[in-house]
Amino acid sequence: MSYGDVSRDITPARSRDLRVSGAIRKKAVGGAAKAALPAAPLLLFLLLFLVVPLLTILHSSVSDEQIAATLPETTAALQSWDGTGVPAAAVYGTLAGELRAADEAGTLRRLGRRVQYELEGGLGILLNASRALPEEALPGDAQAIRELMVGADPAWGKPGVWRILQRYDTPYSSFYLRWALGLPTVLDADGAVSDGPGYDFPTIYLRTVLISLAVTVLTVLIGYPVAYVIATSAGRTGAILLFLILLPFWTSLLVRVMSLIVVLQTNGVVNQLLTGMGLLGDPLSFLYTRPATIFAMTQIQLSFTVLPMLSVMRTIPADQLRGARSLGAGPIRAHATIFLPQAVPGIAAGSLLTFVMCLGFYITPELVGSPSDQMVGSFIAQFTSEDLNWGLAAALSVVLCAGAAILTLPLARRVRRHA
Amino acid sequence: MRHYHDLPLWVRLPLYAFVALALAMMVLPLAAALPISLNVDPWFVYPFREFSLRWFEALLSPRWTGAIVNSVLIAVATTLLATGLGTLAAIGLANPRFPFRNLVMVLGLAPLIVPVVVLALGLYIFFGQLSLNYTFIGVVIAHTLLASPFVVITVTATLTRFDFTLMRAAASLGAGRVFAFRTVMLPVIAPGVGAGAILAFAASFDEVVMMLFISGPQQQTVPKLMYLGMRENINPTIIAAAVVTIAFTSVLMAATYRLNRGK
Repeated sequence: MSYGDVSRDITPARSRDLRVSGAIRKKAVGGAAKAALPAAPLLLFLLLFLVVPLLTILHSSVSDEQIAATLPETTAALQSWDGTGVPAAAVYGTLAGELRAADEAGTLRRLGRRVQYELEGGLGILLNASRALPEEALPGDAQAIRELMVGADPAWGKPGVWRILQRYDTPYSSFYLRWALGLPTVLDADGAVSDGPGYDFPTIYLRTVLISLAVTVLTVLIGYPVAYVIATSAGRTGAILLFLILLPFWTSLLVRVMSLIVVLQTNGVVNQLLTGMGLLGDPLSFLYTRPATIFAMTQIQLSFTVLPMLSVMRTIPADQLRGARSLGAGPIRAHATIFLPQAVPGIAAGSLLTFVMCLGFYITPELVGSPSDQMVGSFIAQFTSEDLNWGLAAALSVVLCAGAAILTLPLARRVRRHA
Repeated sequence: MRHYHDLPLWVRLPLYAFVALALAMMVLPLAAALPISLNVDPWFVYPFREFSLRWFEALLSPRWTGAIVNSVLIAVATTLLATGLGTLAAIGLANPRFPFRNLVMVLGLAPLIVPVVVLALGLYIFFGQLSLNYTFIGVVIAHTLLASPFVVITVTATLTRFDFTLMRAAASLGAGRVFAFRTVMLPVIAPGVGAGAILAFAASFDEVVMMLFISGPQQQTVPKLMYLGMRENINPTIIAAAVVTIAFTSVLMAATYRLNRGK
């Protein structure tokens, strides 16, 4: 029998196998679709109201269309300018026309505010130019317009403002992200990088990380003994302790912060006690300080650190400790060599959770901290609702999320592998 | 079990003292602050000249009653939406054939991990295009986003104990999918659904960051009024509002406890 015959012999069987496996595959695909069906409404909901808004933030952080939209011809004309001195007189004419149009459309101030982000006194420079233009028709002679503008504000005779306008012939830029990263972004009229009054974002990130770290360390130091005692207490005692540690999940964050404000304020109970006992001459203001912020956050986060520790500690068999003791280890040595190492995944999970949550804190520092205790979240809120600078708010959000991911994802992966 | 008794006394005593202190730190500020709502004077120290319910009476003003009603309405709508979406999703995710199950699970829990202020900003910008800012629907959507993970978690937990062959048994006896869900699966997972619903309600009832971003000046809730009051000069009315909130959540907590014990 040749190989050819064999292959012919088994062909029908194999093709049937293939058919069957095709049917199985089809069934599996159908099964997967059927399995996914109940989850579809939530998935759609999350796609629409979680994924799309996050993408919107990403888009807002690089979307920067104000200048290109208001001054399309000027920015286009500036593309051929070499960036030294000032552009040709014709560009002044184009700009004057577009400034006039913006003034009539009511977008001049918004444009000015946008330029101001990047140019010292930018709003004034634009308004001065607009005001210097004659009420009636613009002069046909571009040279005359240039003289009017330079006369109104000397900045128009320098390269700074032109260099900024030149950059924005596209509706996208990395400006807000560079700003949020603390890179030098502000120019002066001469086009030189200026310190400019502004926000020191790197310091704010550092502060956010340091406060979060302090809270994480405190919750681990306080939480480990608490989790240990709860894990090893049986019956009613354990239940009561667990109830106390779960309390924060049930009392709103605001209520707890409120109670701290009431107790710690200058005319509050703590000051009353301390002065009453003669420990303090005059009441102290504990509130609106860094320690108050860290204390409040620690109090709020303690249970988040404790719960993962607790669930890991409960799986550590007591027999192992008894075994270690029977082999001659002292109680402390048994704890340090048997119990503690096995509790590490819980400690890591709990502290990671608390750290990530702390990075996004906003309400608590705002209510019990001083202006120099505000974390990134407060600035996102401030730029959204007070300064109406959504581009910067979005860029700060991107930096916050990316930073949190970079700081924690490698650790999170390791924690997952251990768990 | 009680291997801590192994530790020598000189370790155990400080350990207990430390744990007692830590737990006191959790409870004492509340215990000291809440009774001040009964002080007749607007002062924050003990003892009181006289007890009074005047700060609770202040909660009967239209401003506060409006906020209480609004909070409850938002929380009820959020609970219904989040419980429906979350329960269905958990049932889907319990199926091992679910495509990209881990990824979807991460997506489902993401609202708990992404900072609320970032979610709020994203929704605020996105809602601006949909004209959903300052609307009841917008707030309910935002709260549902935050509340749905709780339902997914609690229902998923009860489903791990659910025997899916029961559903096949029901089908073999002629039950349709919906009928089988209602009569076989739902009674078994009800404690998880109930616990998830209560957590969703509490999450919405306490929520303030989303409110600050996407609710209008006309839309007040209890947490929002408390927050605004705390930013200015704190007033005993806010403590009274906190007492009411705590009483409310305590009832919810007792309900969850009973649900969990009943299973």
